[in-house]
Amino acid sequence: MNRLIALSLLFLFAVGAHAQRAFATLDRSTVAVGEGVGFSIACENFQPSNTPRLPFIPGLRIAGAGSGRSFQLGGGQQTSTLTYNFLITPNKTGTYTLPALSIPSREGVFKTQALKLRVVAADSNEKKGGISEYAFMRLVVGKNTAYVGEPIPVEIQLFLQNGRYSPPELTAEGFNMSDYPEPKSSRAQRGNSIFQVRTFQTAATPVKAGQLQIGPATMDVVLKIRQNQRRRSQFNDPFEGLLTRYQDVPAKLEAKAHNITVKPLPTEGRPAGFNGAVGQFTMAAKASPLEVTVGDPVTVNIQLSGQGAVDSLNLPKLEWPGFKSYEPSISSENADPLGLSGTKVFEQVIIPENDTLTEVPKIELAYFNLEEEEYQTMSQGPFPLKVNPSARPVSIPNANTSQSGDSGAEDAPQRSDIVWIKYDLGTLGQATPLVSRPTFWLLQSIPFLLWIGALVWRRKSEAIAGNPRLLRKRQVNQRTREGMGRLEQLADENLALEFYTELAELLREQLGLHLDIPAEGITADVVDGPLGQAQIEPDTRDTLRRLFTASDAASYAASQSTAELRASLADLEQVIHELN
Amino acid sequence: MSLRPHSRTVLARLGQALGLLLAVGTLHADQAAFEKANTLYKDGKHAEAAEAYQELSQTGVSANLLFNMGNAYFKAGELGRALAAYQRALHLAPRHPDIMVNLRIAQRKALTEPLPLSLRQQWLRKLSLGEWTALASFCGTLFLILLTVRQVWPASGASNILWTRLSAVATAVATLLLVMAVSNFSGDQRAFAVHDGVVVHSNPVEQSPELFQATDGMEFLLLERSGDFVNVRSGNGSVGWIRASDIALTHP
Repeated sequence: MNRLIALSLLFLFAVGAHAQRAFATLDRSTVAVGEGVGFSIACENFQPSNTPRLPFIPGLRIAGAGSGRSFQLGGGQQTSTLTYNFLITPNKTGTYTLPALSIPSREGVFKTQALKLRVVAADSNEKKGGISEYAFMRLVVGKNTAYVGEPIPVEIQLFLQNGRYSPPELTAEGFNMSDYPEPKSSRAQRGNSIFQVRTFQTAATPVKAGQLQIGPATMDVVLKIRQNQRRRSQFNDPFEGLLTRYQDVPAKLEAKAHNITVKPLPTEGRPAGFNGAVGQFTMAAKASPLEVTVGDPVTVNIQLSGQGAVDSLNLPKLEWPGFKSYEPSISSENADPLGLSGTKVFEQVIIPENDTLTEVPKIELAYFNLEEEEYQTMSQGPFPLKVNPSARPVSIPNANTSQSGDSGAEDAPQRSDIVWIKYDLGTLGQATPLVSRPTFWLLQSIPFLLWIGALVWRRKSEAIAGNPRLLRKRQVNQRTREGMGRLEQLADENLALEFYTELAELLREQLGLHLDIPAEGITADVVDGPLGQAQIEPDTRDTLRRLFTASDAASYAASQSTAELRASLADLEQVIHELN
Repeated sequence: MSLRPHSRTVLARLGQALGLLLAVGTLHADQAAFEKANTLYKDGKHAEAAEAYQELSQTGVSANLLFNMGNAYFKAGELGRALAAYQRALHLAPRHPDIMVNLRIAQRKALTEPLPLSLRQQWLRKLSLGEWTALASFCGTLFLILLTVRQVWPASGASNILWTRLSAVATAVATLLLVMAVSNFSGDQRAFAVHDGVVVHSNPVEQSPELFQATDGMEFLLLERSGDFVNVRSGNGSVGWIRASDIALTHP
């Protein structure tokens, strides 16, 4: 467990490679006079030496609203954020700049970015009283004047104390509207009331010139209003406020329209290749590989970045003489949710059709620069290109050149032709993987069966070693098998003395085993003793007695025929059989 | 009728010799067919060479055979079949630099992006399935041998518990990796469109609506088969049905 904790701590420290930065955020960028808006300064992965403060700004009332710390672990990084919150309440209309703040810390000085806060007069429909006490909405349009094709940021703010709402509907004839991303949530104080604010952002791009209108915007809401605020019971009902506390009141909110003057793009100085790009953009391009064989592809990568409708940017068709062009693959990444800035990447494959080509031609894109209010053209290239003829003699390597040094995977981007065929067939195998073949599992089972066999053998050996009677029985049986063979031989050779000595030995061993007494010293008396009488059949006792007597007699007069010895051997076999 | 022991021995020897001759003969025939296909390739008869390699692959496959087959298809302008052959070759020899080079060139020429591989798949493909199998088999056999030795000669040095434990851990890890490799092999079957304009349908019938058309060499992940159609997923996540004859598979 301790190891686990230590490893976890090590991991936490290991992933602690983090970036330190400070940034400021505003809940909303446009507010009405008298309406509080949240402002936060976040310090990521550093501890400020002192609490950051906003300077005095005439027209704004700034109050501290506490601080909080949060931790986040994700993407292999640990982020600790210390956030200082402020409530800004404007008391005059205008556009205010919340300046960049320098925040000193032990690691150095971190700087936030400056933010703009637009303060507008409250609309007439926001005035206190009536339904606006519970909900109202506001339409904020970023500009009053724009060019055709210039995206205008638009915000619809819904202020709602408690209730549900449907998506907003915005009338904007003569504009292309982008989709609403997920609305942003914040809180606002207005008088003594706290409102939940949902901010819907979109971008309106004018498609024609003239006096146009954005709005009005409408929203259907269902307000949750405390019933006792509307109609209090004349009786003193103790359950009032518990069972019927809220009432649903449907309402339609509306925000006034804004007039926009849309100017046409100037015709003077318009480049021939202009295809409607409006904004401020930069271009980066590269082509690779720059040495190819006729018919091999060259990839041209063009990256357009900047402010404006990035998604709608289009490259002029790259159709150059001597090149075959394919449809480009396009990807775009927006830096903001409305797509008003970002990057669009075009990856175009072109194929040189002859070896006289020496360059990938210049790539140009004309656009209307909104800041300069003039047309500009950006370009990249041309890129020098070497095209080898396709009938170039192919160097045929020797057989088995698969491991040749010039054929590493890293060389792939530089190679224009495939590596030559192999001359060694190699071992032909089945297409079925080894692991799916029955023969593999059959072979694999051999060591397993060996182990099982060894396990059984070991268990059996241990069982015998732990059982002295069984062990003795095995030893006696072994001794008997050997002794019987010997007796056969002695009988054949008519060696009576040795025969009976051996026979008596075997008898003693068998009797000792049967009666569970030591074999040494067993005589005919044991057979007739209490143990023998209890455990040996009378007939067997007779035979035993006879065999012992014959054995004793042989030690005095060892002269018997082979037939007599064979008879004794038969008796012995019978006794052994009966005792077992 | 019973044969005398001497006759039986002679017959057994003859059988063995015949088997050996057949094996040698087959090997010789395979090598001859391979060389013939190579000659066709050298003579610029790439389509015929591809066909010859394909025919030989019915007998058995090797990395070099599939590599040459990929080359022949590539030169014959059949990028889908070339990509499938290179991928098959790579399954057998995953670290072969020449196969990787030619595969990349074919992918570039096909103008389609190969399906991305997860980090786990990339790691598992450092060894072929045969190599993973051999590794797991070796570890397992070693472990079982050590267990057997412990049973038979309990007092021997081989019965050292440390070695047994180490081999047990190695077996467990190797087996787990083998299972992952098998799962990756069987669950990640690729298909390549074999000509331009391969129609991807919404359902496994010819009359069903067309979703899009694939170009030669476009790579798909095979999901299932249904009659003459296979269910595939393209790199951008589109799922549809393609006639089986319009694709080349990495696990034919």
